[in-house]
Amino acid sequence: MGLHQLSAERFAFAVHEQGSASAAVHEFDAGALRMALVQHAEGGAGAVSQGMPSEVARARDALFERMHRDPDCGVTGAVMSLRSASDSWHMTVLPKDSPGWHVALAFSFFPLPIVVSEQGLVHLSYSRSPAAVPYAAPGWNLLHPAVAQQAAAIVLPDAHSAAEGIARLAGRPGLVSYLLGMGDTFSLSDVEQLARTGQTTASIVLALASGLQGEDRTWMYQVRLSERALSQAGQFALVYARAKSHHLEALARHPARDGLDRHQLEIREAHIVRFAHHLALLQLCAEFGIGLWSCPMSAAQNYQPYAGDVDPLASGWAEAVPLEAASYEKRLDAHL
Amino acid sequence: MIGSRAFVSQGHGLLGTVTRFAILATKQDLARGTTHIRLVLEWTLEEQLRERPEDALTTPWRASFSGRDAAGVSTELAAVDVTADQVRLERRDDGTRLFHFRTETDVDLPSGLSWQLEATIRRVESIGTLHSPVDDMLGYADLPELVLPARTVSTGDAAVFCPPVVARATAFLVQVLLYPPECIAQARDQALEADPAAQRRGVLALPPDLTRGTRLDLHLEMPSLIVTEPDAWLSWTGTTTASQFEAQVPADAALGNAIGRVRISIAGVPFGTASEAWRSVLPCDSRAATDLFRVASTLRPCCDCKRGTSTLLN
Repeated sequence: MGLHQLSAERFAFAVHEQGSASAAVHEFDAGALRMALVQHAEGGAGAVSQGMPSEVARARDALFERMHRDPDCGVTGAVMSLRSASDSWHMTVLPKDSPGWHVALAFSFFPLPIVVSEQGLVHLSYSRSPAAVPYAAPGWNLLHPAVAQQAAAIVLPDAHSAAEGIARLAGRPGLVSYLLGMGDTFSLSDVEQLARTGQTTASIVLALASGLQGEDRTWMYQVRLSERALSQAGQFALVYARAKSHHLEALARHPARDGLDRHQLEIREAHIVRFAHHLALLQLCAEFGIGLWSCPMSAAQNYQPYAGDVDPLASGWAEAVPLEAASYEKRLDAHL
Repeated sequence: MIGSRAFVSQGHGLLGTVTRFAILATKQDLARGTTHIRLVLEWTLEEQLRERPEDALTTPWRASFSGRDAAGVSTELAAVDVTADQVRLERRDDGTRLFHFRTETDVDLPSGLSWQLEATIRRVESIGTLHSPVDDMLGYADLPELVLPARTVSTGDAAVFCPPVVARATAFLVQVLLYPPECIAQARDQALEADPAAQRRGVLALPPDLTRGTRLDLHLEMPSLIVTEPDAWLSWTGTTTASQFEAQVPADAALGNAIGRVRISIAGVPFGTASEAWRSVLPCDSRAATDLFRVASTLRPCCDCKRGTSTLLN
């Protein structure tokens, strides 16, 4: 499922069926959409509709109907790309007076891990329990719209609309985990050096990072070069630089929130540079068949890496880009 | 001219900016079916941290130039290392420094195709070493799609003839001749008839669609010299025609370089300009020769001219 904010009031909800090349997109206007959070006496809170346009109801009903028709089907991933009022692109803040707040609540029939604070609805990209298998119990992930769109453009260039691209992106939970990842992943020089030494076994980096409260959020990434990548390593720098240039421009085009002070603008700029690198590396891997994984479990404070971590098939590793199939299978055959 | 997507990543206490990536000149090689292109790439590195002042200069920087064809296939055309002694240093009031990098290179591309020219900039030190941070210094710039015209036969050529060396307190002729390419010998004879010391200093192919009767306006600029009548015009007749300018060398003219420009407009539209300086040690075996200096004039079209098919400049 994908939920994408098209403009201040206009949204699109898209559902992509596994194996299908496109998604069903329902556009709606959030002008008349009103939701409220109600505290339950027994604890917790729920969203209550105080006015819902028929398009929203139809969009939700389309999903329920599909699940009703086939009880075995389930949602494997969900991405919201709603305009955030936060400066950090890892933290989404939706104020109560923003249409996105009401839309997010209207679609919270599907798990939406949030904290409701005085600021509004707060979603931390990496807030899901890292001790759990990262996408066994999927819920909505809120990604910055620019990041979600750029990522979808890399892996799903045939998507007909941003909403469709984001819905199909949600069908690749490993990719979403990569986008949620913290710290600095592999650099271009790292990947070039691996190619220079002809290394086709897995390589891991521990990306140092800390959470909003300063807690350790070290994140692990893994790459594995394909034979094709080794043979074309001379083009890495150009492809990476071209991609980074493109993503820098596309991310910066996304309008900054009004009234940001200098420090906030610096934060925004730093995020643009970081995500441009993140996306350029993703594009490099996708273009040359380099396998790319991230390990959300590694962000747990008590996480201890073990030998099995180098196996991308082991639980805990989320595949963002598959290793070029033929090459990988050949090596597996040789190994066996 | 820089594509809007140019960048130099930040890192190592340096803030980088691509300031120029441009085509200085193109020239069609009709025999080989290629176009010769002179590229310039300039970037700056601004020190952010004073405690690592040598970072920008410790190793060479490498500028790599690539061409991507319409099928999306990229080919590296040239790679140039810029070393510390080629960097211009600007010291600022706060003690930090600004490094100006510049490199020019020549590449050849097949004519008749469209190309996307791209450049990457890297520290040579970063190539071949592991960097866990994402900010290994790297820059990128591209140019708008460049369409190189197919091999064409020029209607005619324009050439400047003048003596390569002149003395102080003398006058000499600057001649601009228009002629069909096959009539070069006739044009040279005509120039030598007017001035036996004349040499051809530059040639420009006129647009292939130039119709007979088209007016070409010429304007000669020679700073430090006296040109009493710097403007003239010719009509393209399909045969050899010439225009002459008289230039006087003041008695106190400085020795050394001289820069000459001939601007040419076709039917009122600016087509060409010249800006060349020669630095040469003159052979001198007499007192008079010590007072000599060089004058050079050549023709090159301007950047916004879409009519020229054999040479473009920006």
